[in-house]
Amino acid sequence: MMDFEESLREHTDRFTLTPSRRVWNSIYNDLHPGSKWPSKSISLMLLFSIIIVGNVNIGYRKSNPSLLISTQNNFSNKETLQNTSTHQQKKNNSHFITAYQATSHATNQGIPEPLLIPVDNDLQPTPFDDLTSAVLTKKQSLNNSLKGYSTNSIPLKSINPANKTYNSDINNQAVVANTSPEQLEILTVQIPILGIKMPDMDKLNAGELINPQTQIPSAVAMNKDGNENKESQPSVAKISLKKIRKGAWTFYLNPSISSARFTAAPLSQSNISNTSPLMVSAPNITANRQYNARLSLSVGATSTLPINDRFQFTSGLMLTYLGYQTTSNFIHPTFADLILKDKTGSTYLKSYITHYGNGLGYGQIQLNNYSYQFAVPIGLQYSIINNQKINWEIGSSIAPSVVIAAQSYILSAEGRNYLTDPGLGRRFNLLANFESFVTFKSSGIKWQIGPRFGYQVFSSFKNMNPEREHFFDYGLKIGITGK
Amino acid sequence: MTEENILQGCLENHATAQEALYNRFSPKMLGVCYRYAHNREDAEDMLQEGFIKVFAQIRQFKNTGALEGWIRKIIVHTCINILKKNKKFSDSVDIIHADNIHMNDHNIPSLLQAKQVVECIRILPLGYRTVLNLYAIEGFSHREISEILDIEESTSRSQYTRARGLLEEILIKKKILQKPREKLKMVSGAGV
Repeated sequence: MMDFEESLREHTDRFTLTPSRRVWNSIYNDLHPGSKWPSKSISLMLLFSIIIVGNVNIGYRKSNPSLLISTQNNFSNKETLQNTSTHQQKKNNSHFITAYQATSHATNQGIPEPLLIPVDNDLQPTPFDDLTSAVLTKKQSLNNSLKGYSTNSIPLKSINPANKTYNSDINNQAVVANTSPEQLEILTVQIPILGIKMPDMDKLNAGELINPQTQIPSAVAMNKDGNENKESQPSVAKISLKKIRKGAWTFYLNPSISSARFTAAPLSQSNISNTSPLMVSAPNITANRQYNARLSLSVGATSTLPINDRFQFTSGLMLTYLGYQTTSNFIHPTFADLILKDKTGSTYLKSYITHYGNGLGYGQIQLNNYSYQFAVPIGLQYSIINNQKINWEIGSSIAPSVVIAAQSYILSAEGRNYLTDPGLGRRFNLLANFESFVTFKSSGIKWQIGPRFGYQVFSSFKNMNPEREHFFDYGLKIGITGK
Repeated sequence: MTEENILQGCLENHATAQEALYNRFSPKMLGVCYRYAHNREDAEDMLQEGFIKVFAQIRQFKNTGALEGWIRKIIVHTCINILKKNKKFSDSVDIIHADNIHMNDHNIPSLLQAKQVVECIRILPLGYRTVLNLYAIEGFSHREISEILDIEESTSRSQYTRARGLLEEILIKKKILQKPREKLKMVSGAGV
């Protein structure tokens, strides 16, 4: 090197400038964007709260029978209800309902005694309840109760069988609430009593028992002595069919195989639009990217809310890891270029230093491309088969996602090297999921198992990078549904 | 904090270590950026983008060389990339447009020597200045410069020859450089 250059370098090397604080603040904010998280967290919390509140409201409708049964309340036995241990019943989370003893529990006078049927659901009566009919929740409970009394039964209402109106009715009627999570519907059940042979309750099919509007038989409350409470008036209760939809949470694990799909190749140097006319175009090497799939995993929770008999709305939270491996080889540090696009669509060159070549020579290495995303899926499920033992459903969802961490190796413009640039990564994306699964009960646990396919809708890179990378995965969803 | 500790901290994405690294090298690197930039604001923008890349690519640094040299390389490339986004830069490295340089004494600032030299370099047209920076100060070969700037190697040589001639002329006028031109040695303490 000549003296001039040496001297010039010596002088310029001594030259320093102190940057303003703004520079470091900008760098810090870029490196540690944690300060943006509170607002995002609050947004997610808000969304989550809306889902929860929605579910709670549905649950409240179910737990408050007064919202379900509309009657003309003329009973005067509210006191009886209040005087008895209704509150205790609430504590015990069970209550009892009246029906008529069908055969074996008839009294000596031939007057059927009130039959107390324990119900172990959470449809709890309140003093304000107008239970002019028996409310059952489970067929089995009803069936068991008909076989014998429960010793700690507490009558909520007594019905005078001598009532003509009532006696004229052969069929007593009761409301059966089937509270199994998948069939939460208030059902009106006609229960034959008074010498009429009782049907086998095990064969009761909920679907066959629905009676949208039922005239409740007249009933007269009785006092402790068994006398008729004359203040009690026969009541005709109109029970309108109200379907209770209860959401359920499913917690799932989805081991899968993930890879990537490239819908656009990187631009070669001949695509640069705003460089010097004397620029030498590099040969456009069409290099093939060699990459392999790898194991990935998604975990999450989904809340389902029935829309009708077949469709369910789903929402939830999901954390997913997607990735694939690129086959590369170590090289001496070298410069590699990317052709990027600016906002106006013009292309420009950006140079990087990289250690990774696109070859299969010595020093082969597998570069890990990955993406951790936190997503909020929203979608629909459709029941293809829906019976007591097994359900078969298909579903799809879209999930706006936040990229928590990601790394993707980009093929350079010459196709000779791989390089990374976190600044080119997209912060927000959209995941699409398709799944089909069966639901069944085993050992008291409700399982969901079925295949699932996921696809990342937007490229992992910002639009400035013409190369388009879309992760996808296919695997097996294993879920447990809670009540 | 030793350089090793700083490096380890940066690898673990610790803000304290990152700030220490920044504080240690940013003044010098801003000086580098300043030689390429139009003004100080542009130089700071270059520095900011350059350091973000430094922290992003810190895992790729092998302990075989000096950390300062590695950072400087990234900063220089960042400067070039930013300049290349500008259409004027592309034109300025074209030898045809760089021919008519008109200098007068008003352009030469009177500053301390190190800064004087830098300011004299900054007087040069953008294309000249960039090639001179890359060749004479950063030590790239003309072949490497031609690849970095996407120009012919001969263009780089011509640009440098003209840049050097012009800079000498400026330095002599400022009495930073001694005559006769054959010696081309800077006067120590000139202008102080």
